[in-house]
Formats: sequence, structure tokens, C-alpha cells
Amino acid sequence: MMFEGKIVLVTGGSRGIGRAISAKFGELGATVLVNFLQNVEAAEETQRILQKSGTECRLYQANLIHPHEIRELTGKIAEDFGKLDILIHNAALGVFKPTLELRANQWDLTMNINTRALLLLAKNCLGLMKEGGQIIAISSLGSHRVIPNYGAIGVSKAALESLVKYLAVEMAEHGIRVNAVSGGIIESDTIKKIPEHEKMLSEVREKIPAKRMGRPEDMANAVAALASDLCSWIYGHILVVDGGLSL
Amino acid sequence: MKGWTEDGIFEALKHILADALEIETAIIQPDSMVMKELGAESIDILDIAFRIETRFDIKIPEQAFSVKPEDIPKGKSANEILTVQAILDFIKNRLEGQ
Repeated sequence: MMFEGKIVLVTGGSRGIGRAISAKFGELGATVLVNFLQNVEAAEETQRILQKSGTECRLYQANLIHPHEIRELTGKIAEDFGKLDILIHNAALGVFKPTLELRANQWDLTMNINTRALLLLAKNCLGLMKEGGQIIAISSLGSHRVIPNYGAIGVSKAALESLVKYLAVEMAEHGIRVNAVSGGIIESDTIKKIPEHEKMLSEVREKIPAKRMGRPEDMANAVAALASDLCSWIYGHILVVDGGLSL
Repeated sequence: MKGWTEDGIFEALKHILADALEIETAIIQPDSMVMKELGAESIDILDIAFRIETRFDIKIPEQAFSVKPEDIPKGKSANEILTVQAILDFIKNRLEGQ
């Protein structure tokens, strides 16, 4: 299988797109390490789903807002496995409101989880990826297109994509490829948090050339493809997965 | 309580709330409702929890500030009726348990 013997860490890997990514890597033979913030029930449910299909899955609770918890997370992985082959930074949060109404703390929290955490994870993963590895960040179309009430997350994703490119260059000498997958409109609980999401979705759905909304599995498939050896010469790329919406 | 007094906890919490919510510490009272009266939104509750973790060196599990389900008015979430006192009580309990 494609990822047999590989150790994969998925941040925010217990729900929605993160769960689909965890399941995909499990399906393709990897040992999956699921990082989650607080929801133990969802994490255990993900673990059950993966274990049921024969995947070795371990849960790692860590709050990526705290740099020391990121160090502890990678430290535990070092103890448990001695290495990490693939890191998927999917964890994200944010607030849906007009950009001009954002408070400093809301901006900071969004930037720190969505973007700064990738930097700190990458730094801490260097020692775990001595034989090379892969890092893939999950972004969204809001990084370069204006979506109402999406300013906080959109800006953090723009910074994330820029960070991916810098890391791609700086980590290349360590044999680590860094890329991102940018999702369009994906059916998930998150999208329901956007004010007037039903109106927005009905308008957008008509504009998607693929004639359907994205599914978490569409993202997971793209992440797995980008992480595979078939893409071994792709560095610092932002792979757009949106059914053609941005065209 | 790991070197903390009740007044000290309240003062530290007031500064956390004031800094996060961009409000004056003077308006923060134990019976202030964090969302309705101090202007916190859901994401701020998360931010405040993270700041408390750092300031008091404690872990805050999900729904930690929740009240009993039977005390939540219909159509409201636990966060919506959260008071400063409820957060204080939680911090004290955690510190006493250490």
C-alpha cells in the first residue's frame, strides 16, 4: 500500500476534513496519529473508525495555541515512534464576522492556531524527519478571494500559504517537501457557522463547474495524492481543490 | 491554592477578561455575564480559556465552564449564561485539586 510503514500526524484530525484525511491515510496503509484539541468523544470515535478498518491509530491531545504543547506533542511522537514521515496541518479555527469588527484577541487566536502552529510544528518536526518527510497544510479559497465574514480565517490562510512557500525552500535541504491543499466549498459543520450560509451556498453551488459541493473525502484524496511519491518534485505548491469554482 | 488567594485569582481573571475583550477591569464583577454583559463571543470564551490555562498553569477541558443542563434556558447555550463567578469557581476548584 502507498503509505505502508509511514507515520502520519494529522492536526485537528478527529472531525470533518481532518477525520477524512486520517481515514484516507489509514486506508492507504499508514499509522495515523490524530491530534485533537478538546473533544475526546470525537477523537475516540475517529480512532474506532480507523481501528475497525485495521489501521493503527493513536490519539494525541494538544492545544496548538501553546508552544510548549507543540513541543510536548512532537516529544511524545519521538518517544513512541522515533520518527514522523508526514505532517498534515489541518487544525484551524476562527470567527465569522466582518473584518472591521475583529478584536485583537480574535485576530491573534486565529493567526496563532491556523498559521503560527504550522511554523512551530515544522521546527519541531525537523528532528523527527531526519530521513526526509512531507508537510501539507490545509488552506482555503478565502486566502485570496473575499468571502463575506471570512476575513479572519482568510487572512490567516493567506499567511499560511506564504509560510508554506518559505518552508518549502528552507526545508528542501532537509529532504522535506512542504505543500498546501486549498479547499473550495466543502460540506462540513464549519460551513454552517458562516452567517447566512444557506443563501451563500445556494448562490455558490450554481457556479461550481463540477456541479456539486466538495466533500471532506475530496480534500483527503488530494492530500494523499500530494503526499505520494508521484508528486516528489512538487515543492511549495498550493493545490486548489474546488470543483473549478475559482476558475 | 498553589500560592493564589481568592482576591488574587479574581484580579488576574479581571485582567485576562479586560485584555481579551478590550474592556475596563472596573466594570467586571463576579456576577457579570461574560457574553451578555461583557461582550464575549464564542471564540472569546475559547481564547479566555487558553489564557487562563497559561496564567494559572491548569488544563481546561471542553465544556469546563458549563452549567447544569437543567439551568440552561431553552434555546440558550451554557456559554450564554456564563458568569465571571462560574469561571472563578472553576479556577479555584482546579487549583485546589492540584
